[in-house]
Amino acid sequence: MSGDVTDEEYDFDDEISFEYEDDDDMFEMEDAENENMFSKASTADEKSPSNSNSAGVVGMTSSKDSALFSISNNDNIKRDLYSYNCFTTLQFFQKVLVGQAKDISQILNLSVNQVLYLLLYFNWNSEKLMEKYMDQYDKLLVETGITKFNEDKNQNPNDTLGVLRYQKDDWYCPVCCEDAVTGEKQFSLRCGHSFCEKCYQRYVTGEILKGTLVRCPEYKCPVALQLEDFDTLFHENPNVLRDKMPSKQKKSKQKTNKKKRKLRRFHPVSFGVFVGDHTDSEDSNSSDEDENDNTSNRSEDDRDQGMVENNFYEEDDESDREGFIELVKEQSNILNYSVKVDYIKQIAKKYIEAHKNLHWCPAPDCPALIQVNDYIPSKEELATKITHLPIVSCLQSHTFCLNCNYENHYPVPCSVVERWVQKCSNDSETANWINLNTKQCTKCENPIEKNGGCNHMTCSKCGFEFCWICSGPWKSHGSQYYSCNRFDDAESVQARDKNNNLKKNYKKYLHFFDRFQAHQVSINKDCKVYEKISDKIKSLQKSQGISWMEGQFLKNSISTLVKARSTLQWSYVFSYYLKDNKTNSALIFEENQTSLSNAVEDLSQLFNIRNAQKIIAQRVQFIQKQRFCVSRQLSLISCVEEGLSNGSFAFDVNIDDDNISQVKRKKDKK
Amino acid sequence: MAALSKRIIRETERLVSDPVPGITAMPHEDNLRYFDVTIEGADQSPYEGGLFKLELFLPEDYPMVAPKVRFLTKIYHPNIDRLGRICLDTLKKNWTPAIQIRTLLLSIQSLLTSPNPDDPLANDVAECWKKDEAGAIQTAKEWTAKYAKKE
Ligand SMILES: [Zn+2]
Ligand SMILES: [Zn+2]
Ligand SMILES: [Zn+2]
Ligand SMILES: [Zn+2]
Ligand SMILES: [Zn+2]
Ligand SMILES: [Zn+2]
Repeated sequence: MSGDVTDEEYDFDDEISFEYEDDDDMFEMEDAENENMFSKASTADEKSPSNSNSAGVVGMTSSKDSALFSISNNDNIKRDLYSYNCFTTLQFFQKVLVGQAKDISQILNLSVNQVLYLLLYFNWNSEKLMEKYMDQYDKLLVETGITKFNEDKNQNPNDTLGVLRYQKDDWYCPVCCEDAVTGEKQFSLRCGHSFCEKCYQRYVTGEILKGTLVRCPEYKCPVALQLEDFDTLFHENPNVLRDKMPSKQKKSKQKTNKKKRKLRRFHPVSFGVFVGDHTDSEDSNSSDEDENDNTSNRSEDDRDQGMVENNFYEEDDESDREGFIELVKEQSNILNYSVKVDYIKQIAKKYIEAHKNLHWCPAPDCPALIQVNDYIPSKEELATKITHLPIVSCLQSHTFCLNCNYENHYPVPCSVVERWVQKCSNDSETANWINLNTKQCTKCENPIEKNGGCNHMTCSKCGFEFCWICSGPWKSHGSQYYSCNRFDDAESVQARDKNNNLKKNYKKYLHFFDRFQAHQVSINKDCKVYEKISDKIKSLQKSQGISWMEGQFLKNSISTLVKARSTLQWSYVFSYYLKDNKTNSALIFEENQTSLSNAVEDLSQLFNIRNAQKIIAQRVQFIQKQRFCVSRQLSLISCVEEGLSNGSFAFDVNIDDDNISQVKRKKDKK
Repeated sequence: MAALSKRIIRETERLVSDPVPGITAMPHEDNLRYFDVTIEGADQSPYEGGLFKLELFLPEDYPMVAPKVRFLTKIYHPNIDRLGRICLDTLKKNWTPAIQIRTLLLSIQSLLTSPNPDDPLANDVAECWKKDEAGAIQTAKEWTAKYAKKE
């Protein structure tokens, strides 16, 4: 089990052409990218510990069910509290932009590609396009340079396309001014303005960055390239050039343009906060995971190879040998090969930037795009309506808040998240200073390494049971009296001068940072444990014929656990910024926090069972504890929301003002 | 500096042998990408009778990118700023490699005939031009007489 799908490498960006199944024959692309996305999405569902309902908490407010969200395989629509779709850039282009063009083409007497062309001309203002079309049809055709589109219904549609032909002897290219060379080509659009192939390619390659129509280079010529023209100009459609002259083309040694993208570890619930989090990255490099990652990479690679070469290998018999070599040459002219796809991406990007309901996934290197279909409350509203946070997940399971672009951060408002992140990044030395993975047993000082997410530790030497977080004895943790979570500032009460106050705040920060970070570590470890268990269960299922459904409870449990832990994690940030921790509401909050903490550790502890058979036997336990955990999580979130709405919670705005470095400087002096 | 392309050589030859009326462009001997340019103010325009000096430089990527052009003579015009920089579509988003130096200089010349205060570079000038066109034209004439006198 490779763990999160997020470990795998997705080559969204590779040259993939797609095709919409329209009668319009001018726009040929293959649907491969889409299919890949979908199959990925469903794999993700099976494998990821936290994918399928990673944003389920939101939904819980209405139905108290943790698995509310579903991916419809038809249109990518996800529904949490808000409905949204997730796309790659190319999918977005095909589904949304081409979709828009299709709708219009059914109204107007134009092909999809012509409409796309016109939409680009009118900067996607379809109303303006319709208006012009109705009122000033002739003018529109001249202005936009598509005059020839509709002149004659019977004409060959290819007549409106650009042509690549061999240069004639008396010709010279107006751009580079070089005279014609035998065997070299010139390109012209339907306007007839010819330039040499190289100049045209260079020009177009630069122009596509604008994300608008690419016009003929001739001064004031309104004619622009259609998508098919890219195929011709950049030899992306190898059939175009199979003509007369024996080719004397240079041999290109470039092979494929596969991007060797580095693996990026991106935990579904952990990003944005600790850039370069060392503990996390170390975790992700364990050998068994790497193996799996490589496997998935390899299959990606194979797929890519297939895209480029398979078609040709199939017809690779002796008679077709020559044609095949020719085709590969054309295909492997990689520098040009992707221009059309790049162009499409630029078009989409430009569109996306102009539309507020479209968001890029903030995870590093993730090309996913979120299209929100619902109204999302304003920043002001979201400051108190914690349950309304627009938390979404991309198809690679990155869960994030659309409002602030940070991870799922229930129950804290976005503004507080930003302050916390700022604080932690200012203070990365402190973060490093905290020893994250080993602690000493409080009794015998035997060093103990944490190997699972559970914070209930038992010393291997003396058997002492203690809490990883506060180092206190575990026994008292179940009771309400014990305050593992409260920052007890009684000890610093005497500290009255300002200097000591700084230290107090610093201590308070460390206290909560410690807890925050501990749960981050636990989330990662919980997931690893889950991976191992899940593997065992799978092999057990195979050998004993247990149905796949029966293993589902484990997936739900880990998903709940990860989400609940993340809520718990962020609740410490809430505690840190809470102005007064002695009010009734604060005490209620703390009770909720403790209660969630206990529920989380209880559930996490179940994963310490390493025997697959026993785990299956514990199924009911898992389900019960999981449900309890969900209800505690919800209760904590609601408690915060209530307090924020009725004003009983206030944040301490000055707490970050004391500069940690001040404290450090003082320490250094001593 | 990359070798001079055939394009630049051909353009230069033609600019010298077959100059555009009212426009001159001469490359420097030591830098053939750098041109001294003069443009005569068109008749019936506030710049009538003036001779305006410009400098023009062809960047390495010319003609894929537009030449750099700027007025050296002071001129009162809503689309030309104090430093002589020109706000002209042809130089920016409408540049294409098929546009030649002569085409470009012609469109600068026509910008002098038809100023466009709605797309200004020199905001103060454009402001005056819109508020008090007669007054602005008067100033432009005065500046022409003062700074752009033909020798
Ligand atoms: Zn050329
Ligand atoms: Zn043309
Ligand atoms: Zn993502
Ligand atoms: Zn947020
Ligand atoms: Zn011990
Ligand atoms: Zn504790």
